[in-house]
Amino acid sequence: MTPLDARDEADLQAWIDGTMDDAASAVFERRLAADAGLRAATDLDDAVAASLRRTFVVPDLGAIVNAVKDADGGVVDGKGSATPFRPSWRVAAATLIVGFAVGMAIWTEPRDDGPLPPAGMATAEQIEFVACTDDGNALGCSLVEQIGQKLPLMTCKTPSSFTQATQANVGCGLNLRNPEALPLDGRPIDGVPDAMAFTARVDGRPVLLFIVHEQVDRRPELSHASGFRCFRRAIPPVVCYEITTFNEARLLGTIDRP
Amino acid sequence: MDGDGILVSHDEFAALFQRSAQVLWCLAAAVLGRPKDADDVLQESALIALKKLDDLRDQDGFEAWMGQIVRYTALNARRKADRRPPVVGDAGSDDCVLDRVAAPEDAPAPVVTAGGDLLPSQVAFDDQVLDALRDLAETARACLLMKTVMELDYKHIARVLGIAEGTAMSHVHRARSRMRAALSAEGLDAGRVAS
Repeated sequence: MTPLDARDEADLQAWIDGTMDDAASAVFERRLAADAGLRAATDLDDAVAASLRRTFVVPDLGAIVNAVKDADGGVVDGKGSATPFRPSWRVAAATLIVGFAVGMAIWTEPRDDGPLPPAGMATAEQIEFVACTDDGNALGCSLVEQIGQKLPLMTCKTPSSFTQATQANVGCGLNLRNPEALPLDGRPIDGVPDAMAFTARVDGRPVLLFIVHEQVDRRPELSHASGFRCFRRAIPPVVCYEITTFNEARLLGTIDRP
Repeated sequence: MDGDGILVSHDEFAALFQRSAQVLWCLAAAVLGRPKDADDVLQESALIALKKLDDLRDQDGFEAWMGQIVRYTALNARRKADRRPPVVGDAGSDDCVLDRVAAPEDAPAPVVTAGGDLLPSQVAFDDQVLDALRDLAETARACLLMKTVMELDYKHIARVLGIAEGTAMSHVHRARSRMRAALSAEGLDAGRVAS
């Protein structure tokens, strides 16, 4: 395509912007009909605009807007003293849990799970529920989308891959003694070093497993209304949490140090 | 307002944010050069803004103030993404592979319409357009997207970016011209991608 001269370029831009008066616009459109080069440039501009509109589709931002509306007064103290936002382990946990709650409803693809291990949960401690953060609710949306699209960052299909994943992400390789709990879909938690999350299906129900280094360990926050139970087990130097709708932890007892 | 020096209340901020959320999302996507992660950037920007709310002196300056936060946040996210190492995995090992599922990364998903998928040539064209867009400077990219996708007038674009109205218009005009030149150099024309 031959580049347009300055006048044609200016006219074309004004025509696209709709800033030409009627008379000038009519003249330009007559030229457009007669000038194949000018018409090709116009058509390409139109095609580019259509492409950008296809690619940059604004998503539903309602969850983010609602999170801003609901943010508590402690965040908005107006003193400017707050540190820049960084997702904490607890917020990340809440994020995953919210995503997980919706993910349970949409993650319906069957998996070939074998029989499950006995609970064996003598060392797991059930922890109490505390309020879920609004931040977590908003952040959860992106994870819901990821779960919905079935795009885990990694899938551990073997015990050794689980060991490798935990070594790489929390600095401590762990054994998963019951391979029938596999596969586990895992992901490091963005912005929170030494922490990662896994999802698995146990007896047909999704279960969340969080593993964090003890130095960044804090209780995950769950909503009372979430219907989830949270179990904790310390396996120094890491701490594992299992978040589940079962009355007992089903995975924690099968994890230990090599 | 209250006596503690908060010039814009939380409720006022929330209302302003709601009104501008789509434009700010577009700005985030422009800085990132892709739609992916723009909502994360927007959300993080909102949380940062809430903590700095006393820096906002008046509601009229909201979009410029918030736009600056979004730009910085998006730039940080882009830098972080650029230097993020591979997560885990040893593709050469048979017994302990962490199978990374192919993620769409930067590539936009083809739009499926009632008539079916886009033509392959159109999907390829969209990729070329995205490449050409990324070659533009950040401000030009933002101006072009806000004009084309959000259909904002130049005054509004100028307000969000804190630049002069004429500058916003120049950015859009030059961006259109450069996109056209880049795509022409690739041998693409509108006739090849017409649906």
